[in-house]
Amino acid sequence: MATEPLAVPTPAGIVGRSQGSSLLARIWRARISYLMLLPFLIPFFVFVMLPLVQSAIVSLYDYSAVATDEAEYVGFGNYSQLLSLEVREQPALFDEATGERMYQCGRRKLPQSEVAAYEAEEGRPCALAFVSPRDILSEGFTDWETFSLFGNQYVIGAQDTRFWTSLINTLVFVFWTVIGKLIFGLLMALILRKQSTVNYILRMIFFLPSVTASIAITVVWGWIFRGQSYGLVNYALLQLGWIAEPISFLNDASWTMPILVIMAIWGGIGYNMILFLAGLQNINAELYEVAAIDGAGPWARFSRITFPLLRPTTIYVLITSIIGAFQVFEAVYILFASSEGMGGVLDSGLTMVPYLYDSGFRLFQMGYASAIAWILFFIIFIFTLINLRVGRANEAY
Amino acid sequence: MEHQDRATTILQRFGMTIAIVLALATLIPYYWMVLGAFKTVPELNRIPPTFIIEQPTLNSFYDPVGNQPPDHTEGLLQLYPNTQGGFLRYMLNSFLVSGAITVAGLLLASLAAFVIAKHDFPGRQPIFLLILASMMIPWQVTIIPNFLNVSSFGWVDTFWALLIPALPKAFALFFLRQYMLSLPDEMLESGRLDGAGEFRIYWQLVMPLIGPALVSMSLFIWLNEWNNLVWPLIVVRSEELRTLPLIMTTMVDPLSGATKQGVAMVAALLTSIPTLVLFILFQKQFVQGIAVTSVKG
Repeated sequence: MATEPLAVPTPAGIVGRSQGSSLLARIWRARISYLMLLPFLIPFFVFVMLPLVQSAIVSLYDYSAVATDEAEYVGFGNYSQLLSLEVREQPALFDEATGERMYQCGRRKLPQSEVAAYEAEEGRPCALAFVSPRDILSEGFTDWETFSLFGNQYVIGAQDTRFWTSLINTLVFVFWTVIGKLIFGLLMALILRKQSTVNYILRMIFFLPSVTASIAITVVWGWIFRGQSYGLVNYALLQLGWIAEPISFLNDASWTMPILVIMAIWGGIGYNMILFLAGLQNINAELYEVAAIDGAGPWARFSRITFPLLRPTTIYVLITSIIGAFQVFEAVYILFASSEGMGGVLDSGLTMVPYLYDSGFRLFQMGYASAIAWILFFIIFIFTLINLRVGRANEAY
Repeated sequence: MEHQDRATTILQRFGMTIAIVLALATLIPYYWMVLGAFKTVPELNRIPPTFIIEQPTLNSFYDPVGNQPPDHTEGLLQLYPNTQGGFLRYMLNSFLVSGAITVAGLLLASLAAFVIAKHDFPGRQPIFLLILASMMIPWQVTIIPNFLNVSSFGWVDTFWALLIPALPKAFALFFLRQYMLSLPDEMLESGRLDGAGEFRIYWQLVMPLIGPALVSMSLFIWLNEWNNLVWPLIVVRSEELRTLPLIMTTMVDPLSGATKQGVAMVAALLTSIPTLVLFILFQKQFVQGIAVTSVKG
């Protein structure tokens, strides 16, 4: 900070009163500076700092924008409703009279002795029956997931199963997009590292999605993933013989996440590639010459020189990609939102921000939505701190 | 030695092949968009789809026949009869909103950046740190109170709701301050000796010198605002005030057939063309903007 000599406090004895160094006098002398700051600071306080405080307060209330009654203070009630989970062992079901193990056959529950007859008759297999989650979970909890461990079945109950669905969806989305963008971005940067016309054109092509209106391209993806044979992807898969019938991509819960991930990776490779190229530029070319003289092969040069020296860039790319991916909204909204909810079929595309939007602006639960926002903030904040910490460590080099 | 050089060459060839294949894959959505925008309705519905247009048409922009299934549907420019100007009005809205936010946001940010970079006054450091820290707050946190406040101001469904809350750009301030730190103080001092006021120094000495930073920042802000969906979704009610992202939300309709997808592709094309033109004009600034922010950020 070479430009701050003026900020050094002058020893009071030397300067004295004649220079007017009392705080009030200094403030008065700097009135022009404050005046010039105001045009920024006023909207900054009204639309950033004040809402920040309000948001924290609102998240402590059961506050509905449509209800006529007053907002009710609930403390951390919104947070506990969002985050509460409980795991219960789900006992097997036995016939009360005979003590036989019960089986779920279609809609009916049958004792073990009648299973074979049912399966033979209906041609459908039966599964072990368990006590209904409703009977074992605490009040206010509904079953979210079940899992088996050491032969026992467990059920996970949550007060808000949609929140947990959105959290898991977000984590899955973050994981795959970040990995995809990182690997392809790095790969393309390494391949297109040298300056040449061809490389320049290819770089610009990869960078194109980062500068094209992403909302427009999302609409194009909707057309590409059409569920009929004229949809481009369906046509290609049919042509390759990988599928026999066109897949209804946009209405099939199992395809929601892959589509979102593909779109995000497609849109993010170029941006990360540019960051990696900038990082590569900072590596001293002499290192490679020395390595070549020492007889180092391509892999040795990558693993011993390029990758270690790219570490700061890699971490920056990683963290910013993670933070960005947590905030995914537009693609989910444009491709999958409907009047029934923001997350598409069976909430398969419900990530955290769409859920926040759903709570706040479809169901008008403003307090609840603010609590979701703060949980999201908390997650992002952790990654921001990591980024700052690592950034500082790198400066120390 | 020679063996390794051959390994390197093979690796380079292999890498180049991957890069070219991926680059072609990257271009597929653009190709499919342009193709769809100029196909006739029967050609859109055709199985298998055509990869070179047989009968290029402008019907998806404007179809003189009008809505006559199965072969004709209204073009994009005919779609919004309740709004004067139709789709072009929405495009104009987007231009006005993004442009106004970019210009006004950068004016406020650069003025404040100048003061923080080049003036000394009590509270400078705390104010700067507060602005810096605010960059860590994701917009999701403030969006609900902002909506409630804007409602109480009576701004919902007005241009002001789109413009004013978007003005404070902490990131731009930070970026421009970093840039201004490198300007020599002596130059500003000589301006002061010539009797120039602080505002004139900012406007006539500093602003021309930070041109490249302003260009990078304005591209960044403009593109973000052009794409902004959430905020208009919340504060816009009437059709006249809609921006392009709001139109985009109505374009993907998975249950309808291919018939209206030509119109959707035209909408996508017209929405993306301004961003593509800017990119072609300012490639270097786009790329540098990213590289510089990452090194400093």
